[in-house]
Amino acid sequence: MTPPVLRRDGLPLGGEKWIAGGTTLVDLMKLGVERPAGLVDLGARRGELARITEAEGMLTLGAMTTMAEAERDPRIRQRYPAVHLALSLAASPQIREMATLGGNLLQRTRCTFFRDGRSACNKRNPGAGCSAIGNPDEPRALFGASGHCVATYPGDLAVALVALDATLSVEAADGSVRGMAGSDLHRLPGDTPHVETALDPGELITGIHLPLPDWTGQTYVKLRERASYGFASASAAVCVRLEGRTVVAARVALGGVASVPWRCRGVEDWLQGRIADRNTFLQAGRACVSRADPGVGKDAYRQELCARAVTKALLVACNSASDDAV
Amino acid sequence: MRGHRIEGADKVRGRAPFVDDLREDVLGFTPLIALAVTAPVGSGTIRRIDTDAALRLPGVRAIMTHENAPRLRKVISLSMSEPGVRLPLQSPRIAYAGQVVAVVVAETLMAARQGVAAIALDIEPGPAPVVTLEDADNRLRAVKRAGIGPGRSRKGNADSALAAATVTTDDTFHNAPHHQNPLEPGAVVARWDGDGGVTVHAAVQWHHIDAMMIGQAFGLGWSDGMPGLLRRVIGRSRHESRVRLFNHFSGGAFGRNISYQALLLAPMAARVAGAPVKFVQTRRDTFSLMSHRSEVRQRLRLGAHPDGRLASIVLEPDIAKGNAAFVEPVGEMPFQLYTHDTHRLTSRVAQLDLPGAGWMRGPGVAHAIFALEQGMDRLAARLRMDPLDLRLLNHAGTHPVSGTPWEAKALRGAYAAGAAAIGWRDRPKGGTIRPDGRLTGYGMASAIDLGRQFPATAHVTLTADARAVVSIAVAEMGQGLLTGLTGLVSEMTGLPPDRITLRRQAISEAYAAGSIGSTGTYSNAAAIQDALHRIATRLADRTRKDRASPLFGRKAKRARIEGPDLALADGSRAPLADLLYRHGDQSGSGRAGLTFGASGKAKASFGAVFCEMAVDPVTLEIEVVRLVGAYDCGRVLQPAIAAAQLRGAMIMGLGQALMEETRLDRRTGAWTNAELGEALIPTQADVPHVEVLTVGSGTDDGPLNFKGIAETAIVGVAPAIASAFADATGGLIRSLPMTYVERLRAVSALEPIAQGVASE
Repeated sequence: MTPPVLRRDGLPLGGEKWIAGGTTLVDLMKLGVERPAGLVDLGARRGELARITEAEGMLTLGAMTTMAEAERDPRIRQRYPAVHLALSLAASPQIREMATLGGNLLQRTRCTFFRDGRSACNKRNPGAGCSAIGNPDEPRALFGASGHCVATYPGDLAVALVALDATLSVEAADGSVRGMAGSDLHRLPGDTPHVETALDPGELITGIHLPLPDWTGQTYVKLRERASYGFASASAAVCVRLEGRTVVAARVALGGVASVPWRCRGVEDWLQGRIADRNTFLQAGRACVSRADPGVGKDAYRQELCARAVTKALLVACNSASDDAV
Repeated sequence: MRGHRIEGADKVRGRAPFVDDLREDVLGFTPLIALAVTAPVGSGTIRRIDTDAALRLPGVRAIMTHENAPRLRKVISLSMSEPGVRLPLQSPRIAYAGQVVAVVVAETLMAARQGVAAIALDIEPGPAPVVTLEDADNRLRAVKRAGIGPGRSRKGNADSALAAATVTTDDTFHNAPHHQNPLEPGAVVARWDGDGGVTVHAAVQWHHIDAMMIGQAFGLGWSDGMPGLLRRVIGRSRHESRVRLFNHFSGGAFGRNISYQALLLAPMAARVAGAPVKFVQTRRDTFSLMSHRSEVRQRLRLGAHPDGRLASIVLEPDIAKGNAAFVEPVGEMPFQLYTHDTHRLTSRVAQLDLPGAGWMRGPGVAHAIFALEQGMDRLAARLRMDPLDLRLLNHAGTHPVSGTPWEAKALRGAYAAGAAAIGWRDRPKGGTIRPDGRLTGYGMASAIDLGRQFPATAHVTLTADARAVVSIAVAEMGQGLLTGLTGLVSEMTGLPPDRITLRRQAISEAYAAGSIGSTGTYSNAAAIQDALHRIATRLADRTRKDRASPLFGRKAKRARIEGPDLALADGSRAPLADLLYRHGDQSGSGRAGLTFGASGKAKASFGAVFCEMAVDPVTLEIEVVRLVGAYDCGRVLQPAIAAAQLRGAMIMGLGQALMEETRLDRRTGAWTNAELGEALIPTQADVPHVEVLTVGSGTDDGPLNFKGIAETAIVGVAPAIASAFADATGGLIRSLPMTYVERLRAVSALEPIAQGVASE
């Protein structure tokens, strides 16, 4: 084991990794969880990849835009409040100044057995087994878990992107660029939990494209145990199009409770044509978790929390949060 | 002197040295780096530790395991720490997960890390570890003592009083274990000296006690070990020891800032490596090498007369104990707060397979008063009384058990000041909708902590050019002790603060009281005052014989230094600076003994905490909008520092209420969220408008008319916050921290949303 070499140009070769803001990668290297053979610094491409551009109503965020830069952008604040909130509620202000959007999407799980560097973990050490399965004391994914991994995806931005139908630009090692739906980025653990994304080796996310917003309301609700620098116990990104008091279209995505950013298509369909009121949203929240893995032990409360996050997000997105209380 | 911390400017400029910063320029040598290898499981026996691969790595110099570690002698740990019952690396037995099983010594930190990673442990598994009270029913034992507190006590027949009471409550409360989490993970430097002694650089809270432990373990003794220490406490303590413990600033403490084990492991590693060593704790190490506040479950039953007077308090705590003598002293304080007819305390302790538990701000009392104050709120609700009125009704004018009068008590003033500041009497009804749609709740609670004085000695020299040099080995962990003591010496002598020097090298200066239990400033100041009295007597004796003196021929009896004068019993006085100039340097040693209030009266600090909260009715997100703490700590010495201490302790109480818990994997017995990103403590964004008020005043005009601050201010915060949640939602909190799982449980019987709306 030798200290990783940092290179300022070229492509990552076998065992090497890109480094942008470094807020996740360096943390995991210090914990001994990530052990890259070398790092390739993306700093030289910041001029090209850290721009926010607008074309035909679509906003493109360069993948090296920092979370703080994107959070402060007035177009995002006004047209994509779900994205703005997902960014401004993430991490801490200090981390957001350093972390890039592309890196944020690739953030790895907070599962304690992954991070401790020594428990059995199929993500860290494929085939080693999973210390979280059958453990009643630690959170597990309510959706998307497999018999090999029950870790949750911890990020916020990706959840908002899935709700908004965002797409990504991905650059291959040969310089060619392909498009990818935001919802296709993260892979379910299945029997290969160490393969977390649909990116091929050496591929790089270069841009995030936010489609023209045609929602009457959107928001991101994040429930966590402290007000800053805390991961979601449950979160919900919601987009709604209302006509009068009727929901004509909705998007619901869940964060912090699933292996990947989790879209609730069944509930989206169910909401169509419903009256936008508290009762509808309570039912929608409950329906979102009705097919959750029932969980074990102390973790069962997260279904309830998840349902409440969805209800709250729908209320906010429909601007009716303060009309009536329980 | 009223101002900022003496050491503050150095700290903000990065000039204050912390142990991990010490380099050759300060130490005179470059130490090797030592890192711990810890057990991944909570029980078992080490069959073999494979060190071959690690020893082959470049830079790795030595590996210490139970097989080659120096044998240590038994130590008596006055602080009830782990080495008192279990010394590190003396056997292959694993008592808890995270236990140190080897130490890697290397030339660089990187090499040491690589060495740690290259070590393979072969462990014969033992029975499954038991790490929570829930799993420890068959380990619970009734105890007479719980640490420094009683395990059993009774006043009258509490059970029959409870049975006869008109109004009763019966609740079981739970507090999760959590850690102090000082910002500085900590390091210890050790070097063996030519004379067989050992030089240790560390940051400790009570360094003569820790020096004694090191001396005992390595057979050096702090002179003669225990009796020697006691002799020194009672007599003089200017003494050279072969344990040369240099005490440095610490980056936070709240009970512990370096592991007691590390104080032993560093010299052990230095001996094995044959060279000076710096033992460095990683953040993860701090969770198992250092102590934690243990898990406690308390069944509390209260019985009241129809008018609300307390007839009976029955408290039955179950307390988790780790691998140390320390037991959370839950039973110490709850019967000292309110007047009551009868009480019964019956404690049980369960020995768990965990690291040693230990002191953390408000030991025992922070847990116990949470339960008592929640019980009082339930009682108030049943009696249809305002919670504050119930407290006022049961206010203890004298000590509720002994009947002794209080030395000073301004709790009523604290209630009044706090209630006025938050608008308690005009508060909206609980559950009132705020303009933003959230629910409003208000809560309040009382705070108490015992006043104590610990043994200390001080050596003081007043110089001919009117300076004061105080030799006393105190520990500064950021609480402002140096500033407080300097201010007190200034007040006692009338000398300006910049003419006062505190010499605090542990190896040569006088035995000081530790920075523990809100007693450091008081105890050490008492010793300094005693030294000044002795100087005054001697000075008066000399000056009465001096024809040129205004005090010529007077009686020297009961001479006192009352800055800036030397004052005699007959009222005559002369400027101290003049006398010093005339008679030259004057030295004296003074001491303070172990007392619980020097006056024979009961002594405690008090407080009242009030909270306004906003709760989202859908998500149960909570925001502590305002937190007001009104404290009676006697006279306030340094208003800026006192306010910072009180505010800091209140924020810690907020953490105790809302988020602080260290979770355990019951299969391995390991702490799972053992990192600062996951073991939550409040961030700036969690901290509301915190208002600190002080209401106390001293009993007399003497300089020692103050009481402890640090511990009292955490007490009462958690119950006030829990009560505000109950006021807003109707959901009664039983467990701390009151995270979502507890809040959802609390409201589950109340809210339609939780009943489950039929989905289609």
